[in-house]
Amino acid sequence: MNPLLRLIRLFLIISISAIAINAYAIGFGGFSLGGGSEEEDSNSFDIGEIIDGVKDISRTITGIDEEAEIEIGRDAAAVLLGASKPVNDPELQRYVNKVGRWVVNQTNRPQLPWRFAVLSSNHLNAFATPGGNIFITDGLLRTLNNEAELAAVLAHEVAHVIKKHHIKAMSSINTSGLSGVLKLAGQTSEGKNNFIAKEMVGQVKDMYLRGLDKDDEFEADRMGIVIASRAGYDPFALVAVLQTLDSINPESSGLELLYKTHPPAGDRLDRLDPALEQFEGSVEESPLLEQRFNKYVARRP
Amino acid sequence: MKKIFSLFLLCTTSLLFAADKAATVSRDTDLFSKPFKDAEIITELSAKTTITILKRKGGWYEIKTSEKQGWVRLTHVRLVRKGKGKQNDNSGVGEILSSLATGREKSDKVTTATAVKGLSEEELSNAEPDVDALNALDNFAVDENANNESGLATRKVDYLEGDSPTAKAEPETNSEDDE
Repeated sequence: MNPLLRLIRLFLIISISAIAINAYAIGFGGFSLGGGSEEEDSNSFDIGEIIDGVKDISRTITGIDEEAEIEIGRDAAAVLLGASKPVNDPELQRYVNKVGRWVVNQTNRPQLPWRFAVLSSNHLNAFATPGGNIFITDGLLRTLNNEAELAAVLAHEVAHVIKKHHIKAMSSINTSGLSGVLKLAGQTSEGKNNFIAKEMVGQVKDMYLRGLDKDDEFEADRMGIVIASRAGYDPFALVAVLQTLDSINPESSGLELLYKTHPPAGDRLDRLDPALEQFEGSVEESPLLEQRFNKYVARRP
Repeated sequence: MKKIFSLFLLCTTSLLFAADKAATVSRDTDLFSKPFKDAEIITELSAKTTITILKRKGGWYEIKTSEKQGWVRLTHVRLVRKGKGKQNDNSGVGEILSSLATGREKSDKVTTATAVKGLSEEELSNAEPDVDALNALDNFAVDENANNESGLATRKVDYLEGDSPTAKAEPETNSEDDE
């Protein structure tokens, strides 16, 4: 977010908080100071709820509870899996999880419940949801040439998770911002008939149809290169992926959603130079693990 | 002493970027005699110049034009586009998928798996959440402490300024090897 907006938002939050706290003091100052429990307050005026709301708003996206983040991510992942199922190939799925796990272990959030899956769609795309669910379509997987390229795609998605880009995007879709998203996520009940709020489903779809902030995409490209490189992969592999994508007619079916939600591959290549500069002259050759990749990917019909 | 890439891993470079591919440069860019920023500049190629990619080294392609040969920056190159199909025509994706498949063990064209469901806008819009499929992902999860089977060694690389997820330095700065 640009600094000015951030400042304005911060100011708003502070002033709303001040108003709410004043209201609280005026409304209940006399008798709730000592023991005003939430239940009592909500019965009378709901002012407690307003204050909770303010707390939620002021809770920055980066400060979101990990548990809530994971819950929101599970809802989102269930929606995506409703559109496309994992490829029925346990060895392949396990392989992609091995690559993904090695990649995320190079980040500051290895403890998240990371899950990777290849989805049986011929569209070319990859998705992440908060909390560590990463999906790549079979269509995209098959355009890749080696494990370094797979790691590059996964690392881009991992960067979105690390930076909580989806939480940010959902918060801008929900009219109540982050607190609204958190509230919807809370409507998931335990048990067999796991229930995801209808509104949540709608907002998740909205987000994946609109895509993330373009700057967040560029950031994920830059960070993904670093993450994949930390894992020992060729930092230039993302360039290969983007050049492949760029060489496909953007009007082909299978690319519409990718390009509706991402900057053109050519623009992404243009923006990558600064991120690649640090590898100049130092990483000329890195393993691509082509054989391991082919063992799991190319053997398939 | 920031980054020391002292790792010279046994490599299987560099089929990453196919050689002898038709391409263009995306902008005015220098043609260097060697794959280094400070190398001698042979000439400037103007945007859209047609080139042939010979090979890659790090962030550089060795290329030739009708007249010259040398090195250009990787990101300034665009492969010649495949597939002239119009909207709702699968030729672009289909063509690249099948052409890529030929380099592999099985040269079958990409077969449309049975009951493929897509991730088109429409399909996503109509999706019903599938919690069972979500829970089934657990079956393939790999534990944080699982052995790394890739054989890759880690490198120490910093995020670019401003990208770091935390205000502080990255976690793996165990500073063991810092001197």
